[in-house]
Amino acid sequence: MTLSPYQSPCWYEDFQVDAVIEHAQRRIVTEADNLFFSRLSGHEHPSFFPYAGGQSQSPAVVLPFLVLAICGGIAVRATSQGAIANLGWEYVRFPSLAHVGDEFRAVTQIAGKRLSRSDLTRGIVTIITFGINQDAAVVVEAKRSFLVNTAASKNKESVG
Amino acid sequence: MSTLAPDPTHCEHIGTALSDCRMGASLPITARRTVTDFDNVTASVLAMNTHPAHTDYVYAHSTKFGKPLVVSPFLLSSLVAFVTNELRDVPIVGFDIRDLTFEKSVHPGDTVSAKARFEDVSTQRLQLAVTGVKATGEEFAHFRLELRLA
Repeated sequence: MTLSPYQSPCWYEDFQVDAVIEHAQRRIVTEADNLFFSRLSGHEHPSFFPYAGGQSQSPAVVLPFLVLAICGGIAVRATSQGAIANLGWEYVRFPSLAHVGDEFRAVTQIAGKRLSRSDLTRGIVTIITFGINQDAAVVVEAKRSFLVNTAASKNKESVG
Repeated sequence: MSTLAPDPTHCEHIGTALSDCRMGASLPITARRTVTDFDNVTASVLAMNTHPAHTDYVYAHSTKFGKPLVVSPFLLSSLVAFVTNELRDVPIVGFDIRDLTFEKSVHPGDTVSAKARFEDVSTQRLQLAVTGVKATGEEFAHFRLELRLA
């Protein structure tokens, strides 16, 4: 099946609720990624840092926050590239473990949008991003909201 | 001649044991860290994140924040590490994050830590209310961390 091409949104008005985007980038996660990101963010607990010793699993389980970072990162260009700020996640789940060597891709559903109550030149967009491995298992599901400018704000502030 | 290490007489324990986790009590967290430009740019590019607020400082200075923003998954990972590092001997087999809100922006150069309070404690599960806090005392994030235990 041929999918419709997706135009990355610049403004609040461009976000099409219920659109589901297959992101173009994919990423194979390596041992170096896993060790580096785990320690960069300070993990010591053996459930989050598989290089702590005392137990070994090969290939190593990938730090879930690296899974979130990569699958969320792949999704940025087509979703929050012009966002003013990330407002938060309603939930982040990790239905299946990811392992070093897995290849991640991501799919994002535009779940909703509304204008800001305090500033009508801004809007809040809510998306659900699914990170998927090479076996079609969902390794992360994350629902997040971010703040974007409306087209009406064009004369007010440049968002890039 | 080979050298033998002496036999240990003591054993180091890190953090709080499961038997000492009490509903309503705070988890003692002493660690904090300064988030650097290196942390932020590295975490962004490693994760394929293309948002210019993290890696394009000219752009970042043109925004209402006037400086780069720390990339959120790295910040979340760091906050959870502050908590789980203090539960070093608790056998965590899975977890969920819920109701996470960022109330204040975090920038390279900020020194951050976490506060955590037990909302539910059982042999199968720990639920904590976690707050991200800067060394200035400013709270920047709140979320629920549910840990599933072996």
